[in-house]
Amino acid sequence: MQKSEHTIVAFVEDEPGVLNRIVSLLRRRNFNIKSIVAGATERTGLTRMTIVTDESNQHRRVNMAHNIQKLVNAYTVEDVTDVPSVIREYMLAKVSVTNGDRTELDLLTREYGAKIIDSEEGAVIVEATGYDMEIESFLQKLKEYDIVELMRTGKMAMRRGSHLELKAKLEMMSTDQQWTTKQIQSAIS
Amino acid sequence: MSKTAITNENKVISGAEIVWECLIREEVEVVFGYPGGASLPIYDALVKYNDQIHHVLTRHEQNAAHAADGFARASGKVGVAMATSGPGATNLITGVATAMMDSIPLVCITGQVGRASLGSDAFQETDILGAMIPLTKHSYQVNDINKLAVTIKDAFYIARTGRPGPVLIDIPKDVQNESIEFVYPQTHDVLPGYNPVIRATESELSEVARLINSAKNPVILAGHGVLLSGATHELTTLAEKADIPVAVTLLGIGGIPASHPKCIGFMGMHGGYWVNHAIQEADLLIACGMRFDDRVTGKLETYSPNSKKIHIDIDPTELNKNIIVDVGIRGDLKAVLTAALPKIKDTKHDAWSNQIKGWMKQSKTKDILNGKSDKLNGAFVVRDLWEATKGEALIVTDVGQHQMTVAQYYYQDHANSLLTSGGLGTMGYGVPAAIGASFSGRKKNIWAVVGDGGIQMTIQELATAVQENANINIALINNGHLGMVRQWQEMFYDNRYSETPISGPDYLKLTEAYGMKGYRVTERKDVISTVLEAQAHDGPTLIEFVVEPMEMVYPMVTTGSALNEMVQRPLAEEQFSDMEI
Repeated sequence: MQKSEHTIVAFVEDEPGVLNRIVSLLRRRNFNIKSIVAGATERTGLTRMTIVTDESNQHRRVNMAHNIQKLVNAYTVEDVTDVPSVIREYMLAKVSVTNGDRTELDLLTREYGAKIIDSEEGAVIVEATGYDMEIESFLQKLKEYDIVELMRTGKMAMRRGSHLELKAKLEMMSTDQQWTTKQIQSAIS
Repeated sequence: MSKTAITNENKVISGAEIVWECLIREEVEVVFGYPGGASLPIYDALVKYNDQIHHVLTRHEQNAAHAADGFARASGKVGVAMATSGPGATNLITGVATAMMDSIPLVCITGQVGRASLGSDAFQETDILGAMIPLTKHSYQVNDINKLAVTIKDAFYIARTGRPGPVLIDIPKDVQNESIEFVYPQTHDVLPGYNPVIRATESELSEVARLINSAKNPVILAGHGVLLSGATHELTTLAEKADIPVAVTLLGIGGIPASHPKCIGFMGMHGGYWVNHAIQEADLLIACGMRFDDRVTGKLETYSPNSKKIHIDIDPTELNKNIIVDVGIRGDLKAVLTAALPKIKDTKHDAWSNQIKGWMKQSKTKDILNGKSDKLNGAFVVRDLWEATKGEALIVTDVGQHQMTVAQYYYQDHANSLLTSGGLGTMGYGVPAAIGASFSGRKKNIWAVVGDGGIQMTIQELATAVQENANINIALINNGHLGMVRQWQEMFYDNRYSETPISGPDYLKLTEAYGMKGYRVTERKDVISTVLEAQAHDGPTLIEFVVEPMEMVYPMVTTGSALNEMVQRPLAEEQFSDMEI
């Protein structure tokens, strides 16, 4: 059975407007984005994005990856939905607490490996990180309190194992001035 | 045009001058455009380059894009269009979208307000980059003069390679005015993810060969990719070697000569009845550089139900998009076919060919050309135009009934000789695209076949045609209606002709006013002689053919029907009763 959630990692140029191009493309091709996270990487000029959609059709999934890959600013795209990967999300929640609740909340956060990172009169801010089930389950428990504010980052994904092909590919793409021209020549000859 | 020595290398010149220096180095000889406030520096610099590059002043920016598109289709080179910021840039959009849908290489250069004013809603400021992102293959705003030359180099490279398409370069006015030492880049920039060509793998090629060698009722579907890739020879060789009938899409017309015995004709909504039947009954479809558009498939669920399908396209996003295929190959068609051909066995499919001929016979009896009516209609005009031009004209169409009639009755033997807005279906395309094509250097008579609806969308370009003394002839098929929409109203909206009757000017007076030669034809006997007369005239001409107002285009696959469930021309209507059936 296909998972209802589809996760891809896109490696794109760190240029103004690239996020706009990706989001515009996904809208235009009628894909529904559940979350998108973009950030800096080990390489200058390279942005890494984790995009989660609800696309369940396998042909459409492949089509989406090809569409992103087709953008001139995109280096490469990996579909990590069905490969062993670490997928994590970060969350901040502001919970309104009375002094009586406080001990109980301490225990709950410790149970989930979460942390209270700010504590003021009447409210605390809790940070949590984990895979989706962990965060969901923690949230369910947290809902027994009065959640005043909540922010989830959306998911970040990284394949397990050394996966050195990726490093080599990105290396070649960003350094070889002529690599596409060479490919054309070899295709024509 | 003479190529004078370029001497500005390593000299300090302005951004505006760099634009022209780069265009000349990209071997651009003609630019279509319209000046304005934010492109004043570029147009001022043009004065210095007038002997090396010709600027055609269209009467609307949309038509600059269409003309660049017509030039690109006819010449195989990149077309260049220019506009100012704001309304100039937004006017380009229809032309750019037309080129994008049909994979036409364009570079569009727009002026933009100065960098300091960006985002302030300055006079004639528009976010053209944002608007064009989904409509172009790629788009740039050059905010650093040091990147101007390499951006232009990249834009041409991107526009013409891989699956071609339009590229926008938006240049703020102060960048045009800044000066730096001009260094022309030797190569395009590193474009890390841009990978225009991938070869087919051995296993893909073997699978293609296995399917072709074992097929009994194969059909090749030849699309625009055949022309873009220059694969006519390879495609024709495949069709001959394995005895496979070739059906063409609208943009694939000319990819194999219409007179070639293996070419069965035009497919789809208004395609041949026998062509669509062959596709539906096939046991193997070999789709070459086409994209299974809804106008060629009919209802997807019933499309060619018993066939295996091979799809070869340079754009991987086309594979398994509309039709799920058995073998999808990403690659340049010419390269893939060249690699596959040695694996293909010589075969004969006589029974299959005869079956298709049988369907053709059944259908030809219902062909309007075989009817008895001698009233002038679009089909007669196109058929006689074909005869008068010996099938050798470069035909440009607008969009609508006449466009389908041209696809059906102008039997095109040559590649890149039918220029038509296929994907976007842009009315108004015909006249400006024909003007653009007239700069391609091709030694062909150019005929723009247009309707009275479409021509009135871009009729101001008659002035451009006269100013440039463009050698184009316009065959205006005037039925007093937006004919294709009226046809749908007749068939599906109970004859309610809502806003489809349309009036127009007196075209003889109009052509006279513009200073061009005009003719009017009302009877079939005068078609050929008038075409010949117009063709002999030096400079632009227009013939108004006054035709039957209520004529329909048959056959037709109606929306939601399978490809072979075609509505045929009613027999009684054209008095076919004594014809053999």
